[in-house]
Amino acid sequence: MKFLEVENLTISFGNKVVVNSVSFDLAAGERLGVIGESGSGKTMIALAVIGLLPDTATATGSIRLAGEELLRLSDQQMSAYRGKQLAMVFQEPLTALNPLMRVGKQIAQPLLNHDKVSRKAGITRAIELCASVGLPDPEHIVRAYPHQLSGGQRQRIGLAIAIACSPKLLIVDEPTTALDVTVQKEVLQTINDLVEQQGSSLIFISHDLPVVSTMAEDIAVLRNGELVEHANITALFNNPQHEYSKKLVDLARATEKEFSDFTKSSTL
Amino acid sequence: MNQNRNLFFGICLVAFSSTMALLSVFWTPYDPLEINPDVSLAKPSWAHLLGTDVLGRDVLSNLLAGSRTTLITAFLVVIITMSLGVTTGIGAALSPRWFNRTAIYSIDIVLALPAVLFAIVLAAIRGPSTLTAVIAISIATSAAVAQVTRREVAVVLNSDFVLAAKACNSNKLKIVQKHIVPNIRASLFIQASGAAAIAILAESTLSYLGLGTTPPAPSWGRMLASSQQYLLIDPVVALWPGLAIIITVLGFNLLGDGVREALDPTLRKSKS
Amino acid sequence: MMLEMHTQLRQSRKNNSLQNLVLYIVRRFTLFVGSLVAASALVFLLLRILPGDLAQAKLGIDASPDALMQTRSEFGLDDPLILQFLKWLSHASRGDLGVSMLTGVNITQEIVSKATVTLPLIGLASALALIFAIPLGMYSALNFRQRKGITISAVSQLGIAIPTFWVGVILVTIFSVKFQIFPSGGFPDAGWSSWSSCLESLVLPATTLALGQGAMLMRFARSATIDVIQQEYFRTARATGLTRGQALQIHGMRNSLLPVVSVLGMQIATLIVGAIIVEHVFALPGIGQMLLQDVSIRDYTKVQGTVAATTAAVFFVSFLIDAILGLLNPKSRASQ
Repeated sequence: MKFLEVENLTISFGNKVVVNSVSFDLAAGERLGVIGESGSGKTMIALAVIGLLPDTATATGSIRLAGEELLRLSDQQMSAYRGKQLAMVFQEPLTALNPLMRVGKQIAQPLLNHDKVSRKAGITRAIELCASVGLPDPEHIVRAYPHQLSGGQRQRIGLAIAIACSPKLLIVDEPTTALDVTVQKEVLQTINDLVEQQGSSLIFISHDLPVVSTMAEDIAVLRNGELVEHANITALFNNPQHEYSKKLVDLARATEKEFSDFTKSSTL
Repeated sequence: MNQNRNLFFGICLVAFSSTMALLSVFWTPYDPLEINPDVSLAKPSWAHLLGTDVLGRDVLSNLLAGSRTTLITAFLVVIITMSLGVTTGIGAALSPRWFNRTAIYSIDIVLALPAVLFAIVLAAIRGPSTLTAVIAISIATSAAVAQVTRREVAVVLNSDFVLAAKACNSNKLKIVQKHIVPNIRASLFIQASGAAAIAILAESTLSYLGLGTTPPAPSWGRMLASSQQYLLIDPVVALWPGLAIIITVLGFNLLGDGVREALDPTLRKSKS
Repeated sequence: MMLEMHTQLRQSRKNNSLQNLVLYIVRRFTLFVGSLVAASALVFLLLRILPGDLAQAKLGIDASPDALMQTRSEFGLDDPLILQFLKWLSHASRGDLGVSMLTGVNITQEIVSKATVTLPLIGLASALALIFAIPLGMYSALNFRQRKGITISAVSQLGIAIPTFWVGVILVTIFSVKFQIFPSGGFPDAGWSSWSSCLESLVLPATTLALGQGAMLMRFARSATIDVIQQEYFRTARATGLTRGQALQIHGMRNSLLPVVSVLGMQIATLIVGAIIVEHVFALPGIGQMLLQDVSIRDYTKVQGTVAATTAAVFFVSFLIDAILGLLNPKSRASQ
């Protein structure tokens, strides 16, 4: 039995099927990269795993986390899992944080909720977490409001919130898409370090193959809700089986060349 | 349309009221003004489907005739309000900054004086009448329309495609026609139906207070006022004018909501 | 280096924050005073110019020219309008609204004495509306796709279509006429010394007023809460393991209450209108009833004074609410 087992997951909105019978597993400590363009259903799969699909969506199939069938749990039961066993970082750092609450409090929230720590202990831990996600001056930054921070900093706060209770599965959805190129690399490095430190499993979702390839060895390619290819990264690059994967690999090769040209020519 | 219940019921109710009003122009069961002391405060019967009031006037006929007053008032108010409010709003949004600011503040001031208060002041000067009510309600409501319109036009003006148009040197009037109007059309309709609802409630309130439609013209508000004294004897008479008002106002509200839902169900319109 | 810049920026932002708040409140206060003067001027103009010659109105058609002249100088009607207004304004700002040209009563005193009925009425109604409407609105938002949410929303949709005066009459029919629990109108002459019978007289009127206000507040609370629920940060909160209700409590309260608080300012105006109506339905001797009576006898100066005072109250409450909003929402003052 693997840590996460997704079997024939189908998600639909009324008659419209957005994810069609997708299956994959993830062992403890393993990483999976999910790649696809917008509309391919990759975010929906993540939302299904964490149980936050919109009300209008129906999910059938099976999602088992350490043997427990998640799709059969009530919202109340699932809330005990969220943040503690599994956590998610969302795409838009600006809107993902509460604009009226200091970021330290937002980080401490899952600790207060799951581990029942005191408010003071929560803030102390939040400071530690800010340091571990690479934020400068953690003692002062916990008192900041989101609009006072930069995009990269906000995304790190999002990370801190997600890893607060040391979840065994971390799902990150396009964590660097909304960030500047120069900041992207740092944030990716941070995610990498965190996951290694905590020994958690990682599902990394992106539309950008080069980015995904730096984070995971196991790649799942999604197109229009279908899992078209699931292979090791080297195998995928050298011998893509599906039409779509071929296109992705070609594109990745082309942009990687451009990217390395750019980094050579810039003075950063 | 099947799924948009608001729109469906809205259209039904408004159509119902309008039909009643139209019908009353040509026919009512009895002359609403006909006084018949013998059948004072009669209970509903086949002769008088909704009974009679204290003077023996048929309630149903008065209800029908009253719908005429109500809908004409609503119509007038909507026309004046929308013309005044929209032009002010667009004008304010298009004008130089200092004028824009002055306009905003003045509108806020007018907005603070609610329609009924304004009507009271006006009634003190001109005496009560339907026209007084219409003027007062229109001025007060047009302030709200102007405010919302100005905000929406400002948003459109800031959007990329208008900036592009300006860069191509389109003159201001053209910008208004080609870009602004189509984008705020939906919101204008929604505001209009809202204004109609407000107008109906305000007119009946003013008539109830004696500041609006004066006798002998039939009006739902006054029907209620005159029936209040006789509640001990016949409480049911008070029911009908109220129900008529509720149905009509609900109709316009649902219509507005339905249109809003139909036009952008996924986008959440920010109200402020 | 970056760290030092960062610290410096934060320090100046801290000082700025308090500065911003003070500036914001000062700006709002100036706006309040300015709008009040402008609105008073408007009402003043309307009720001094439009009715025609006030002296004539007071003395009647057969008045002699001498009597008219005397009345005019007595009430300062010969002065240029601006002077008249400024005189009135300087008195009014000290609380002296003058005397009625028609009856000679002291306007301020009259308002204050009637306020002992109107203010408790409005207070009671607001409290009732807030206590019931906001939680119900939030509850209906949390369940907005299920039947319970939809039902509550439909009820509030109905609620805003019901005219206040009709509710009053229906309540009177049920509770006073049929079941005889509450009085159908009137207010104890002895005033608040016999406070239990005063409260009795206010129950039905306050409930009537509260129902109308409540329906509107419920809709605002519901849409504000739905807005919050659909925000990304709400999803983040849920992803950390909070249930819908918990997430709303912790993250949503401030965010969903803010629009409701800002709407309260506008509600004051509708509350006053409602009070006028309700006082008429239940024959309560409050400011609203007084206003209606003054209008029917064409007491222009008294109406003007009363409307000015009412407007001042509305603007003042608006200002207070703006100040509270500035306190609660750090973003609204930061963007100056």
